[in-house]
This record gives sequence, C-alpha cells and structure tokens, in this order.
Amino acid sequence: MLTYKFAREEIGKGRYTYRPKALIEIEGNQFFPIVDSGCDTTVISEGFADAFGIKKGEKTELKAFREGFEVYQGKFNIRFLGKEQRLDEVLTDIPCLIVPKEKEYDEDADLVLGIAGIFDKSKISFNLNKGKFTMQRILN
Amino acid sequence: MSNTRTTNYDWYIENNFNEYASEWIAIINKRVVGHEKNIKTLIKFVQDKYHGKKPAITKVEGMHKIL
Repeated sequence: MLTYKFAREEIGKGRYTYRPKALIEIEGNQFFPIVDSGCDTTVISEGFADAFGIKKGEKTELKAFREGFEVYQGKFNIRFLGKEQRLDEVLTDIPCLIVPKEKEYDEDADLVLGIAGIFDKSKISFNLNKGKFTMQRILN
Repeated sequence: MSNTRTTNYDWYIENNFNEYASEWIAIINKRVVGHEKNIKTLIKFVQDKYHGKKPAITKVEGMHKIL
C-alpha cells in the first residue's frame, strides 16, 4: 500500500486548505500532483504534454463549473512511488485531457490526477484527520 | 518517512512556497533550483544548468481556492 500526505496550503491571509498530494514519477522526474476524486479525467497542460512527448489526440470539451473549453485527449503512464521501489505501482494508458496554451495566459495549467484510469484501478482512502491518504492497487 | 525517494516530497509537504505562487518549481536536494510559469522552460533550464539531474517538479497553486 502506498501512503501519501495532505499539504497545508494558504488560500488567503491566514486561511489554509489541505490538498492531497501524491508522489509520482514520469520519465525520471518526480511530481507531486493533487489527487482529485471530483475530477473525471486527469488534466495536464500542453506544456507538460510537450515536455514528456504525450501525443495530442482528438479534441473534446472540458467543463469547469460554468465554463467549457476545448482540450485534447491523450494517454500517458505514471509510476506511483512508494518508500521503497518494491512498493511502486505503475499505471499505464491513463486517459488525460490536455489544456492548450492560451495567448492571454503565460501560466501553465497544473497536473491534476482524476478518476479515469486511476480510481478505477486503485482503492484510494482519504484521512485528513491523520493528514494522509492511502492507495492500493485493485487486481482485476 | 524520509529517504532519498521521498526527501523532496516530504520537504515540499512540510514547507511553504507562497513566494512561488502560480509557478512551477524544480527541487533538487531540498532546494528550489528554478521556478517558471512554463514547465517546458523550467525543464530546459534545469537540464542546462544541472546536467543529468532529474529534479522534483511541482506547481505551486496561487493563494486562492481551486475547483
């Protein structure tokens, strides 16, 4: 079983929130993405896709609250890191949505891990009281 | 749980990076070695300056709630 932590992050003067952050590896680089059970599909930026050779497929629409915008579909592999290598879990062909660069924004979208290809292949249990969450591969 | 695999992760979780809000940061050995709004630019910078090293990379959220 993999165990990860919540990060305490400031969202305003003296106001904080707690975000579940996993430890993953993509092409040798570690990342600490948010794990979001309310997000249907993993979301990455076009810059991220370009950096790691993730191919942009067909276009589709991503709806966030009231606004929808055009994104590309893609797939990629993630290694979820454990304390020791033998605990690692590799998930392949995880569907993702690639958010294109927009001229008016110079900031890349974050990496957010969603349900498809992750929650359906793992049992993920959040325990904010302990500041931790666990992830266990479901064997099909 | 701090070992070489989780060193940068644990350090990130335990510290505040508000000064880099809305930017991607690259961490090597518990040190922020670069920060950029664009991840591709950051990766190129780290590759050029720290040949062969693979940093931990993460986005620091802005100081706002996210959906």
